[in-house]
Amino acid sequence: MVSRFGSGMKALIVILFIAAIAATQYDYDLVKPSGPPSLASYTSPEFVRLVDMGFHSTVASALWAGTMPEILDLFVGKTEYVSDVAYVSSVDPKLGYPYAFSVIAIPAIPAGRFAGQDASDTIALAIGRKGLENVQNDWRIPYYMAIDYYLDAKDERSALTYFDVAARTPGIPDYAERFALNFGVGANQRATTEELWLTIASSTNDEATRERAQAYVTRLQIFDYLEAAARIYKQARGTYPTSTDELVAARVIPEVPPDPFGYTFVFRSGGHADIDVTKPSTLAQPLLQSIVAPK
Amino acid sequence: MRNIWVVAKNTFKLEVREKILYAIIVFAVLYMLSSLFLADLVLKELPMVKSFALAGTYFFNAILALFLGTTSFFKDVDRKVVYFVLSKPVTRAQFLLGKFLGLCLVLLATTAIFMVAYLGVIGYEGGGFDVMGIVAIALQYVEMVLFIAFATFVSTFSTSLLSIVYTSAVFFAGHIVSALVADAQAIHITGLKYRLVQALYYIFPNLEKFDIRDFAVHAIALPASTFVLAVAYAAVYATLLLVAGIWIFNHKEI
Repeated sequence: MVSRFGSGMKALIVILFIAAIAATQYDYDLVKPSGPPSLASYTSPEFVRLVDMGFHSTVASALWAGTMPEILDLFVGKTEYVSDVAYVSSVDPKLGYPYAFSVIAIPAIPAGRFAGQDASDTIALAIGRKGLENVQNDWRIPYYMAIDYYLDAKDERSALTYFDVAARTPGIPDYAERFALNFGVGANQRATTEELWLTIASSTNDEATRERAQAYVTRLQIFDYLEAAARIYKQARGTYPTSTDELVAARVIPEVPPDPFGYTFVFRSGGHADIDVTKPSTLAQPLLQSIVAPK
Repeated sequence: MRNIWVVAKNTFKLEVREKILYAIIVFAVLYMLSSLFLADLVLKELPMVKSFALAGTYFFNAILALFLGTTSFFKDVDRKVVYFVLSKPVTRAQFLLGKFLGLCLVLLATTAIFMVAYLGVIGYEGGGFDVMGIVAIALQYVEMVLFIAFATFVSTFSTSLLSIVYTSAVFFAGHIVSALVADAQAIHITGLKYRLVQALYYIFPNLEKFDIRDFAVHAIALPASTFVLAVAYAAVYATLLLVAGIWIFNHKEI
């Protein structure tokens, strides 16, 4: 009898323990945070830098790998991603990808999701500006900022400026450099682009920026000049020239004006002037030269 | 000099027979190769792949340096090798320097293996021949030499277990001491407390001098003087440690 009572007690104790475990788990689920806590809730980035034994970039990379998927939470109004990017950047300010990724990805989030905060494009551009302060060799940051300015902020002047910064950044691939340098040079945009560069040239206090703005204007004028010459060539020969040398050979223009940035001019189909960025620039400094009107 | 070289060669031969050495090397190479999978995790961002791979070369070399530096001397004592060698016309200074040189050679070999694995991973990921990475690994090796010198010094007066504790503590302190000084300045600590932090800064080996990994990862040019001064610092510090170690060893009863 006593033995049966003892066995029953043991079974009851085991059941109670199992129930206690289940209850604890249930309570934990009730109180646990609904999403991942922000990195700053663990410890400060300054402390991480102090104890990471010099592995700033490794730690920042590992933290970034965990932060990147949080961008999806922005769609449901959780903004830990923004503070975590700032955290990762504090651990290693030179890590370029978090800035570049944020600049291009955040504007895709509807601005209304950032209740009580700036519009998403403003947040992205603020991250991009911080990136430009810290990273000088990642062309993607100014390039994506230029895209944000053009598509989201509808600010062509800033887009031009940041495409120019991107085009000058070491390591920019040919396709991106070509797009950056040719931004706004289409015949239908050229007048507006020239106007924008002229306002930049007249409003800046920086001599180098003014010089580059004037060089861009010169280049746009050369495009007009070459395309006008190509039309004259077509009237005489029936076809558009395939290279600028053909214009000189046909005595339509006395010589091909040099590109202020040292690149070679080429003709695309339909007599559209362009530059060949697959060949390196021949000039270390921009060359400014007056344009002679075609015959 | 010849005696030092003979002890160094024997130390090298003895240590490369250790199975645990191969286990660590295999694990290190596997980690490096796993950087290829980590690369996918970070969308093949080359700076991040470089940072993971360089961390691997450093971490596993540090484990090896700690393991070799804190056990080699005591193994010779346990196996009575030290008595046999010192009964020959070999001075204690030659024995100690030979041990140090031998351990440095082992680490040089492992560093070369890790460097090949690193260059393979970075080359595969499209990073080309990473010269800055080689310079960073070279400075990591210089740091490990200093590490071995400290472990050798501690081994002359301590036990194997305490050697591990002391060497690990100095390794950690050596990495945070320069950040401590910067933080003390940032939060305006002055007076005696600041002097204490400064004293620690000058006394402990400043291992941050050998950390140019961030330069290599972000492809930032490094002044040659940084490299030269770091090597000179390691040479002077290691010489001091070895001289102190020889002095203690000469006065020790074994």
